[in-house]
Amino acid sequence: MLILSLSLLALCIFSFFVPLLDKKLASHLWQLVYVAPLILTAVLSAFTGGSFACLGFYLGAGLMILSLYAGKARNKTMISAASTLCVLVSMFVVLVLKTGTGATYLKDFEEGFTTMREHYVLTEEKDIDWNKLYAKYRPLFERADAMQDEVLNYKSWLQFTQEFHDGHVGYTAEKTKDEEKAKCEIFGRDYGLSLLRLSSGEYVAVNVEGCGEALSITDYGEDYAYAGEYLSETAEADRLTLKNAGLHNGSIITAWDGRSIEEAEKEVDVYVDSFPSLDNEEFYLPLYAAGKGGESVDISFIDDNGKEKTVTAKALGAYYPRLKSTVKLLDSGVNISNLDFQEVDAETVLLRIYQMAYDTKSYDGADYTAMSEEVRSKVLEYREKGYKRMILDLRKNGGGSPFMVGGVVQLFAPKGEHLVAYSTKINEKTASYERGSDGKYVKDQAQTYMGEDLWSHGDILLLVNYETVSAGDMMTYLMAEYPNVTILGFTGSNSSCQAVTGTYLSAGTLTFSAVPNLDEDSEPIIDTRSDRLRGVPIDHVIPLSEEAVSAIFDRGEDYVLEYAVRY
Amino acid sequence: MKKLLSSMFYQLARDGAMYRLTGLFVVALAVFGFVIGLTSDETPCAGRLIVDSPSLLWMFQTMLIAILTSTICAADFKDKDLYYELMAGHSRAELFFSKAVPATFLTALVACVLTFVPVISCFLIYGWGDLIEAGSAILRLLLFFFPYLRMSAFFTLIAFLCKKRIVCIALGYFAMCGGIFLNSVIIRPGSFLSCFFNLQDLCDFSTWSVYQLDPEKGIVNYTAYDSAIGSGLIVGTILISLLISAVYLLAGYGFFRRDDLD
Repeated sequence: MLILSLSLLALCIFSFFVPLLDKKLASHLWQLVYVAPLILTAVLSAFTGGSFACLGFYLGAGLMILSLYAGKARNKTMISAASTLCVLVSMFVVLVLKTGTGATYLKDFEEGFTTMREHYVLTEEKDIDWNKLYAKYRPLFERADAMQDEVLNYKSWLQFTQEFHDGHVGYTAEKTKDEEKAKCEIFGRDYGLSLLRLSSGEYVAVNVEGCGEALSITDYGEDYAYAGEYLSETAEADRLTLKNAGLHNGSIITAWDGRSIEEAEKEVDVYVDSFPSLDNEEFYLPLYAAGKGGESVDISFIDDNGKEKTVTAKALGAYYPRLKSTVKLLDSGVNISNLDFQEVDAETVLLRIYQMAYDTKSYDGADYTAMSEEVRSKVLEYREKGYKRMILDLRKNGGGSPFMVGGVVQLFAPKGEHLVAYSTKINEKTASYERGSDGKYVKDQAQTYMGEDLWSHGDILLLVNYETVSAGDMMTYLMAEYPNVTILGFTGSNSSCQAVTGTYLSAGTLTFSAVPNLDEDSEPIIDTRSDRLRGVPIDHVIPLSEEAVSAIFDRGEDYVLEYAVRY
Repeated sequence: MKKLLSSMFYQLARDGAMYRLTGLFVVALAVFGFVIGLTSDETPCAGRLIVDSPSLLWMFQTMLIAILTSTICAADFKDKDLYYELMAGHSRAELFFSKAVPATFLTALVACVLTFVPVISCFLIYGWGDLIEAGSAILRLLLFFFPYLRMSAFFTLIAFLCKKRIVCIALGYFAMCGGIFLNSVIIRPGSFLSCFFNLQDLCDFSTWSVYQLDPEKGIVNYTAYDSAIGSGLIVGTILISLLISAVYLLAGYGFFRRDDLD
């Protein structure tokens, strides 16, 4: 854009000298200088979308054509001056004021909405009212477009996508930095703590600035570098206000800015990720409430002497980094390579699976024989060594290939043939999935596997959390049926399993469920319906206790793993 | 005027170089239609050529238009024919329009016909396929005539401005490269700002791609193309192309009328 504008300006300036040059080096080719701006303007306008702000470019180029008919050199010079002035005005408007070159947020919404309405595969299952959604969100995007407000655009997409309660529906801004900044503005202010609700029902402070493993605003590092510019001028001085007042990880919070935390929770209107099942949303809701408030909030808590105290906490900066860090501390699985084994104790071995991908060769295909062979030999090795308990760590498993899922679960499944899922009959002409007269999708081919029951002598514990999604969800769903498997976690898995696709828009990418995976009854597996009840069971919900909070946020321990070992 | 026209057509009809050049383009385009099928990862067919390689349909025609218009309009400056015709008493308006208007329409027509060559060659070898409807595709290709007309008018203007055939041809080459570059940067221009964008939009089919999870093959992709062409694009292509062609020709005449022809 800059280069094109400068080239146009350079041509206009050059045109001042054309009459002079024409005298010295007489040639008809000089006439081309007067036509060139017209071509350049067409190119430039294409990049700017031909907006009104480019009027000066058009006028400048148009005037320049008149030079062809202006006989005297003086007239040509005057035309060049007028053209240059027009181009300079437009350059100022477009490059300095940045008017008329903005993103087309409304057009993006219209395009994304239309594509999704035509191809989202859970419309009927989730009772999606597209007209209602359009009426609700179009004005927001219209406003974002008019104000060229990238934060409002991003927030509107987050809210829109979260209406589906589907972990596969999401929006990613084109520039990661812009997205992180938008999140800093969307999720409120950081008062130096996050909130969680214990299983006993009390709200507690976690990730408190200056305590244990908490995130410190003085040490954002590369992970949160973008958040530095949101820090208040007094952030450094105020950062230990809570700690100095005696508030620490695990302190019971009784009021938030003079009201109950439930009241603050009602202000939460958007999350970082979608929560398909209601119970998962309830678990994470207090986390988001901790960003609600003004320049400061009064936090009432029970101190170590059992007395209620109130401390005024000033906003230190943006809350999003602490929110992200709290989720990270809560939900990260064991930090070893994918498909790696780790001996936990004399009887327990852990297999980490954080993504359903083995190698680039197998990713698009269905043959995971090599992977199955590799895992099988390790499983047999640990069985021969006398290990009795296998922990499969699926926490934060973002999904991948369903065929890899089949390749892993076959090793642990009871003998016999088992079903992963049916694919859905596709209309090749329209590239859309067919529903029968009963409104259900039409089943196509079955993906099955033969169980090997390699771990029948012992227990299998499956560790999950809300970030166990897609193929991770599928693995949890399949293994839930096995008699020796127990699914454990603070929350269940995500409950989103239809395969995903994306549509590219000018300012980001909209992803959504587009390929149904069906069960015997032709129903899409796993995904929540309109009642938002989870589609994958959880056998044991790990209680979020004071002990858990202390272990995670003070000592940085993997409490979920330790709990599983003790279980 | 009539004499000028007939002499121009007489000269063109006996220009062996023009025939050879056009024949070369026909052969090259036909070969491209065949080769593109060999290099395709998907099952080759004429429909796929149109949706996957739209630039192939117009890029060489840019060069051809530049060569033809400059031959008709600029060559007479070099061999002084134009000066003799002026001395013979023909008005500048007669001279200009007897060359510019036929040159513009004729080259646009030739370019439009050549657009079908790779499609027909691909069709004869690989068949039409079922990606897009033939009727809609033919309509889109016929509409190419209008952006070609605009391009021809532009090169006619350039020919009268610079009066040098080689410069027009060089500009044609740069326009071809620039057009390909622009269309690779701006995928769906949705504008009539340049004839290249217009050509690109005429080859732009709304698509939807999805995949199926096949237990044997893994991920199998399916793409559906919407062949329908919007009335806005049809009307816009015709009206804007005619309007801009007229502007270029009038601009060319305005210049030629005052040109000292030295």
